[in-house]
Amino acid sequence: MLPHIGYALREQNRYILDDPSITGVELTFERADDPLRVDKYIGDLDIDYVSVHALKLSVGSPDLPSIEYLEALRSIAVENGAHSISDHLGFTRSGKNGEEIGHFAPVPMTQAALDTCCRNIEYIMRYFDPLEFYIENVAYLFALEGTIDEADFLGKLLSRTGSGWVLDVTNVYANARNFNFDGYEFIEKVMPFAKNVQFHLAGGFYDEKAKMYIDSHSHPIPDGVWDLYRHSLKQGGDKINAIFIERDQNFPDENGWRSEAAMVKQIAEEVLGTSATQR
Amino acid sequence: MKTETKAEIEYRQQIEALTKAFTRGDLDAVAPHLADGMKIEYVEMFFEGNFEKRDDKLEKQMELVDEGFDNFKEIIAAYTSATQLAAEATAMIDGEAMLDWMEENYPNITDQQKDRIAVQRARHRVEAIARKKRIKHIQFQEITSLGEYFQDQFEHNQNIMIHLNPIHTWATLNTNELLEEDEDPPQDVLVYAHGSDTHTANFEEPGKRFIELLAEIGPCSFEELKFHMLEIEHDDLLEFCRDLSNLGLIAFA
Repeated sequence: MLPHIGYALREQNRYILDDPSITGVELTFERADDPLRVDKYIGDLDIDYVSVHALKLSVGSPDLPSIEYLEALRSIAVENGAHSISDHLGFTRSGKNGEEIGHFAPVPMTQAALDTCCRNIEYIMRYFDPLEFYIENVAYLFALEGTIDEADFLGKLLSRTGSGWVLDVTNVYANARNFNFDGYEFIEKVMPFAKNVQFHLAGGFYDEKAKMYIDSHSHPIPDGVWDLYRHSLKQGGDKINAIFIERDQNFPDENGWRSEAAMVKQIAEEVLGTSATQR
Repeated sequence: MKTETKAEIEYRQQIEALTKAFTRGDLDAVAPHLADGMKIEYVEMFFEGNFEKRDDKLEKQMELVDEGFDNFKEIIAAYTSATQLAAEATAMIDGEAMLDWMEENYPNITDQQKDRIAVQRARHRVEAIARKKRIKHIQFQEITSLGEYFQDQFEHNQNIMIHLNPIHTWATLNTNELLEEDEDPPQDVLVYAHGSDTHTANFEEPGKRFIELLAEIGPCSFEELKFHMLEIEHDDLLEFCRDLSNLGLIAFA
């Protein structure tokens, strides 16, 4: 079956979300969480599949996330008819009553980190049940010293917790390019352990000074990511529930928005079969 | 309470050390934790990204205060360099903490700037109240749409109750900075939720008493209101209610 396809909702793309290619939308929690808002963040949009994407569950922190944050996330998810909630494999703070970094840092790929992340994710999944929970692989500028290969770490985490996987294809592309490993093999290695999968797709840029590809969500999806996307579709098959395109700056015109979503759908139909019906 | 294992303690110490290093831009403290081959300059890029994000959020959160200072960007940068963001702090919480820090560290803030800070703090309070009373906030905003329909009826229909906007707070302005030309300081202004925004309204003493009265007695009919505000003429009170309804401060249901 064809996955739901759509965008991470931004005010700049709200007007095109009635496009026939689009049946899914991802809401960023920190944007939706406005205490003065009187209507649903999703508004009047009639969307088949909604997911809420968070930034601060901090599954790599030594302490569990707070009940207040979990409840606020769940409220937004319920209010907007969401099917799932997702966040990142990283840490944003040292722990309860600690300090906030402001953005997620990669976890060290160690047994202690794996055990902590699994414990936290299991807690989060129990809290949000029956909403599904997905964990996303992050793009990183550096890696911390570890004892476990990233793909093994992710595979073990997904296997132990039963969490879904947000396969951020662009993050794999960026990390593989920047740290010289095979992104295709990475996805092949992890995918068998994921029960359910969502994809993220985005475009970034190559920073000539830093000599790094930056996942800035600021450009159209590049060829390298399209290729990896095709590969990911083949690997994921029926496990893929949704595909979300992320764009945070340098926004396209109406044709740009619609054509990129149409391309995502076209490739999904080619790889998964044109007879595939949408979920 | 479960006792942490040795491995858990060591992991906690590592994450605490890394967080401290990240929030202070301490490259030397991060370096020993890096995997082989990782470049420290990329950690620096990570720091810069974080600091910029926090600064941007504060600047966006506090546009009203920004307008009263020539160097607000520098003040934000000084604040974010000197302090760390508390775990799970929202932009509003960080903004409030920044205002506290400014009052401690900038003794020469002018009275005009203090007025902007007072209204900003009131906006933070409105946001906090709306978060706590979300259902009441939504219910009130829903019934404001009935204002036009009931405006001609509430005078005589005892079944129509006058509701006060539950999401409001007061701020005192001591200068002309944010007042109209014909208003003299000091003025108590009401800061309240209007749809998804915050608005302000000024009142003379009877108006202030009206708001405080409604806050105390809860929804009431016009007759009941008149009983409590005998010092105001019938027609004046009627007109005042209509004005407040148009402002989104009261609603009829």
